[in-house]
Amino acid sequence: MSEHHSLGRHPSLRELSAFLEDDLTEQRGPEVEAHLRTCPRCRRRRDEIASLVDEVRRREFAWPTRQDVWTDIAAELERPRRSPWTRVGVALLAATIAGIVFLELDPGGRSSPAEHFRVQHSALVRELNSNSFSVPELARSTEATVLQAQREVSSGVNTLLAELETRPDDPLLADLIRRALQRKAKMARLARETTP
Amino acid sequence: MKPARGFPQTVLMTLLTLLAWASLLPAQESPSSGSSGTADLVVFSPLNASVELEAWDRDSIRWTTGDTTAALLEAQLTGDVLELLERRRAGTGHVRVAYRLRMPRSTRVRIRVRIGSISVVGLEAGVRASVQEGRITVSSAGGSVELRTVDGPITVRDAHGNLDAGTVAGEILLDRVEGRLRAINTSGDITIRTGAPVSLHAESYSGRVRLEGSVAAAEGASVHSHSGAVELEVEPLPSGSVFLRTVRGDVDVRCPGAETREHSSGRRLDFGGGGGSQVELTTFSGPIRIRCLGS
Repeated sequence: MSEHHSLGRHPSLRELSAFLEDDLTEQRGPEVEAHLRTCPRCRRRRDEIASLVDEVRRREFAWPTRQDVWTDIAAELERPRRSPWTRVGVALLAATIAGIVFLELDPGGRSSPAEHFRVQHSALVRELNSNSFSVPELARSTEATVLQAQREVSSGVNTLLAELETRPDDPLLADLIRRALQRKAKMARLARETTP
Repeated sequence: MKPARGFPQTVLMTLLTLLAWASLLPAQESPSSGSSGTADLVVFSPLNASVELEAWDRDSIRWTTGDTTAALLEAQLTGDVLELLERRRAGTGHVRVAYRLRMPRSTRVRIRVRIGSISVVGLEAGVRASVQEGRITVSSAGGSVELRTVDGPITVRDAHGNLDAGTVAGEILLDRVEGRLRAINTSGDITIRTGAPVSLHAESYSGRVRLEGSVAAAEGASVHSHSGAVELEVEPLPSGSVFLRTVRGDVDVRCPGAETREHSSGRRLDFGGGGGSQVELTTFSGPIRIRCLGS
């Protein structure tokens, strides 16, 4: 049952996510915007999602910084290998972050896996759109190749999300979505890595 | 009476004498070539280039530049790291310059080309190479081999070690390779021919992923394609299981020796009672085809 406020119904998580991406319909977008002006709860929710999007972007799908890899080669060679315990520590930290991210996304534990992945997808779409591979050094034809591949995977993710709506408990679908999201992030990373 | 020596003979004799003297002088570097003592690591990132890296049996590193009207190389040796800096003449970015580097096979290499190609032969200590637009070819290599293109194929032959090939759009061929194998792309086919890998991970989004030889990987194997086919033409596992999972893809298995079990999440083929190598095959809509050799 959807709750209502003096200025229309509260936007759903998906709508807030779409609002942040400027991806709502011409009718619903202004409605949500007006609603947010008067509803502190939804504003808080929107801010949570925005910070989650940033968090996911920063921690889970972080792009490498534009550091000059080549000048850092010597330091990299000297860097000691991580011990198994350090790796365990990193894994625990990553798991904790993932847990926090999920709980922040859905404090009541009500959102579906599809919702969860949709927010992750939104984070990536925002990230990719905001950067748009506008690295000046990236050749135009290369940029077109990457963007084409990104669109292809985006389309696949949407198909998977639609499938997940009907089969929310299918672990294979969840796995496939995770892979596709990672694929997009890796493509972006790869494009950056190959930029001299 | 001796005949008088003619003019052509005199010129010829003079030239031969000069040539003999020149051959005795120490070799002089020309703008198109250079050399250095050994280095543990060679770093090079030219703009628009076809680069050939080749191992040789000498204790030095030598490089040649194909077109010195477009670019020259400057070498900086810092500790064990030799960095070759490409100095382009203004307005020559569109000119593809051929570079040839020869070095001891124990030299490691980090090379990054924006547009062009990289070819590596015989380096045993590790290669990290990337090309934004163009192909990478590696043969007879070892150590840690990490190859990346955005738009271009990757081919590796006769290599062992940790092989990691990744591209956005490009075919990947790993032929006669052993060790820890990893091949990932978004579009373009992936083909892997291997005997007994330590581990294997191959993943495409829309490309076909084909494995030939053996998937009896000690640390497991996983093969995935979202919409492309996953194909195995392999020796039957001595013992182990193959897990097949697909949402919409067709499954075609031709392995008479395997025992098939259906699960809620997919199908499992057990060889030799299971318990050995674990192989995971996944697609969303692409078909999964397995053919055991000898069947």
